Amino acid sequence: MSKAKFIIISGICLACCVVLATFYAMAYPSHLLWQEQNQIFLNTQSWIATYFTKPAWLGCLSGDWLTRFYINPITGAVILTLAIAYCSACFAIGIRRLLPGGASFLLAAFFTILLVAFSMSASTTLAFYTCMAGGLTLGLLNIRIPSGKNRYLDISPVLTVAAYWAFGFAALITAAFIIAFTLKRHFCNRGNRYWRVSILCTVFLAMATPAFFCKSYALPYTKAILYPGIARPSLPNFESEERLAISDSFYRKDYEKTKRLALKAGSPNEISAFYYYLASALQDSLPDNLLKYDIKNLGTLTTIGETSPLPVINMMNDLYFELGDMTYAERAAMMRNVFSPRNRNVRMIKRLAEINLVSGDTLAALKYLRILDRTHAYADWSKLHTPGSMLPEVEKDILRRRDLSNGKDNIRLGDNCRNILLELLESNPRNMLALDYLLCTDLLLKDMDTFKMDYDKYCMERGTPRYKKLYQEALMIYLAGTGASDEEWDRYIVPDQLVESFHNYSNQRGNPAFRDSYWYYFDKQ
Amino acid sequence: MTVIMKTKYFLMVAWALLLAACTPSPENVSETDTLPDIYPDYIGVTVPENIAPLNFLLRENCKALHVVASCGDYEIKSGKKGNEAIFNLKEWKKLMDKASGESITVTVTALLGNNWTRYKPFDINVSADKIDPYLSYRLIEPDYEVFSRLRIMERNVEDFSERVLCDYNAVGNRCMNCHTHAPGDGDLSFLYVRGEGGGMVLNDHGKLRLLNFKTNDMVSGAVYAQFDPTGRYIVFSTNVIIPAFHSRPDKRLEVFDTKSDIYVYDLLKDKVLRSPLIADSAKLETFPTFSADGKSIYYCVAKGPVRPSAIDSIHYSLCRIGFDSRLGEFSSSTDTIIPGLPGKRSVSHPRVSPDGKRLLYTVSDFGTFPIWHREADLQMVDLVSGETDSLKMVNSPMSDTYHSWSSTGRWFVFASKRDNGLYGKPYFAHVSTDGKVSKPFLLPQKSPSFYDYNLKSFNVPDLGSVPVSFSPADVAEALTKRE
Repeated sequence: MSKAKFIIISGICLACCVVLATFYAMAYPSHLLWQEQNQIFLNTQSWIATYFTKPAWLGCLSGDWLTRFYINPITGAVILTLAIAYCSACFAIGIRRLLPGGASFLLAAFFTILLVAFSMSASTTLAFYTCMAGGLTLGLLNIRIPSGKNRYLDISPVLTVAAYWAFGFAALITAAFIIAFTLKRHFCNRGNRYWRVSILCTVFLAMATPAFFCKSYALPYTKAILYPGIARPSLPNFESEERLAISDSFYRKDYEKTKRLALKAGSPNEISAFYYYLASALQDSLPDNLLKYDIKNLGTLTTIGETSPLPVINMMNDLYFELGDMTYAERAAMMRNVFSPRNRNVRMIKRLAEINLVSGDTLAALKYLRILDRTHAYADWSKLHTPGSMLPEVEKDILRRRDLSNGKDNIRLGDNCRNILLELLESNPRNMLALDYLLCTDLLLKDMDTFKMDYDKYCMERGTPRYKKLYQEALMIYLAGTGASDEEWDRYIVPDQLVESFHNYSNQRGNPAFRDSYWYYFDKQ
Repeated sequence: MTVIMKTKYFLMVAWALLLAACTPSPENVSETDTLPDIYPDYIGVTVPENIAPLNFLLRENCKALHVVASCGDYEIKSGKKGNEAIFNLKEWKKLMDKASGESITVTVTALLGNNWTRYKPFDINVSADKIDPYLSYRLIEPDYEVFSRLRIMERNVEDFSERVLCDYNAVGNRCMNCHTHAPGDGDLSFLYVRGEGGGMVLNDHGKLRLLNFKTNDMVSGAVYAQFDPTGRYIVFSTNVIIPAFHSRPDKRLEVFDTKSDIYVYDLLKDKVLRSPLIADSAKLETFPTFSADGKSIYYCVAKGPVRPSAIDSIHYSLCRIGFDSRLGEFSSSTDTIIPGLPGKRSVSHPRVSPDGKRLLYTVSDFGTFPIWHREADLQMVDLVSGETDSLKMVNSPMSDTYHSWSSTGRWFVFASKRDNGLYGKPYFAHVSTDGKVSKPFLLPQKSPSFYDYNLKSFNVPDLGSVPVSFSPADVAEALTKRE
């Protein structure tokens, strides 16, 4: 290859890397954060030792170790791009030895596209790439030892054993390279008299090593040979990115951004609606915004179990935590951990620490805080939340949440959110979030009798009527529908322009000019 | 001396010098009259002479730790940077040999800031009564409602080796119930794999077979089960289990049965034996276990039906029914040993000691699922005198339950949530010949911080005298070869 050609190809590769890294950092950052959150890496001997109980220890260990840095989208993008670039480069070098220039270039390009396609799925971990990088690297090695005058014995086949131990499934890639190189050498220069033995040994070791070790790794053979798992290629999933971005902005307590992202979502769905409402509720504006989102999902009618999608479990964890129901927040956090890879999810470990701090269960909170203290990204967070060295604002927030949480005991057989909201309000009538979720759920169900009953019990009887436009509109429907007296109207309705609007609407029911009102929702949707 | 040996000695000396250079030694030590805040708490515990090194950590921000464990003239040291004391296995074994029947004294000196502080030394009592070396347990998140990636493990308590008995990969990520040894025969055991195609997997000295003795009139498959002393019979309960939640976060979970009955399975005749006295639809019978001589079955019973809103009024009594193992027949009456009464009087998990003298059980305020009851404690009744020991030395403010005896009856293991109220860990307690129970100790780990970072509960620990002879692949094979 001429120097000029080399420079041009290098330049193109570099430009592709920059484009790819920019794509990950700008258009796919939430997928990277998802990876980081969906695991935990502890800087402890006992944690690192667990990697040796399965094949691919080096690939998984290095992959998980590097995934910690995904918390910063730029760092994450660079790491992922470099991992893909390295695998591509190894593959290109290997294939260049086997095939003529044009064909090898096309194959290498195809391989790179495939690698990028793998990364588009949220379930593809960095460990997949580090394993592949290891397997490709070992496949490129050509180890021969002298076996006589001008004779060499090719011992590369034994590399497949090392490759399996350190990189799992990538041993198959190592074996494929070794076989290809052996065949190439045989057909080109016939220098290796033992080529058949070499190929047989490689095939045997690649297939037999997992069979030999699968018992000690406690894996069935089919899983053992492909450990830690083969990724599936997919196209970029911008819908999923959108959903994850909304959830991330909520996680970072940027409620304005959460609402903004939810409102401009290209494909609004139940998750974007849920976070739009929860962010609104935390800004004391759930009733004001209930009708502003096309899809209606407060989460109050959602139940979770073993078949629930992971983002939905996250969602319910956020809802119960914000409402003040620590039992169900903990349940969702535990469930999310159980269904995460290796049963670990760092966002939920943080949440479990918070839940137990709010519950006043310091020993349980310390359990999680100690774990977080041994992580790269959350050690400081752990220190600032540890009783004794807690930040004043953290302490204040914990006390506020504790005040909202459940003080009375009941046995619950399922996740009936209405009962949960009622229990929270019984414990603390000032829990406005619970009140708004209760009333808004009634209104979304168009259950006016229940709405009126709840409004009476938690607003009127306590002498704290909640004058929100939505509730006023709903009350007008109820009062008009039940032929309430003027006294009743005076008791519930604040006389203003809304009463006049209601009379106008009553004369032209279903008029889209009133689409922002509950009256229109009640009649039309 | 060969070149290899010379090289070996050179390397050993070099390694020792390197360690010595890296490990700070105590100097200008100040004494304190307080005991060290160590984890696990091994202060004043009684341990068997065949236990693995009791590695521990100091819950202080110390730069280095220097620990001396001694018995008479013999002493071993653990010197290391950081807050962990880790003993050499060979040296520890030698120390335990010398200290058998006596005690070892542990002196902890810590580098706190720039000053060395020596804490008040503490003793560890070493019993000459050996413990069964093999402990099996299920590793599971502290959440019974859902599960994923369960494993049943077997740990050798004499060192730190651990192996997998059953792995989620082998059984299609299905639920597995805990592994139970037969009394007096460590390699006769069973575990239960739930779900379609599952059942009780019997391990008969390495030969595994799937037992499916569920009949249409049973409310479920076997849930709580135990062998009889001969290994011929398995007594088991069938339970309809309802999970529920407390609204108060400190109480967390509640589980109760709406139906439950007890049966005996005859392994020899492949036959289920029944008695209306312990399979009464108006009552909830559960937690059966054989007496040491196999002539009776102890079990817990409460009146049904159960209303979720009145779960706190369900109190299980401890009862007994006679059983003729020769004929496979039950007696015509039952005895109430401990009545279930309001006020911490609901009995669960009775276990008779192998010598038949004592019965260990759990008491809680109400119900049938003590692992989430903080008030759940162990108690022991002397079956000869009828005296009850409240085991104050053993119990903690958190749940202490799921106990099992060693084959000698000198030790029992139980799962305790005493550290954080969430994660169950195996604790061992010594029972002297006169029935005196000592302060329990936590299963030692190679890394003393292991439990701090572990997110699994050690579920239903069970002791065995020998390692069981099967692997996850054997379980998978047994499941595919249904009888």
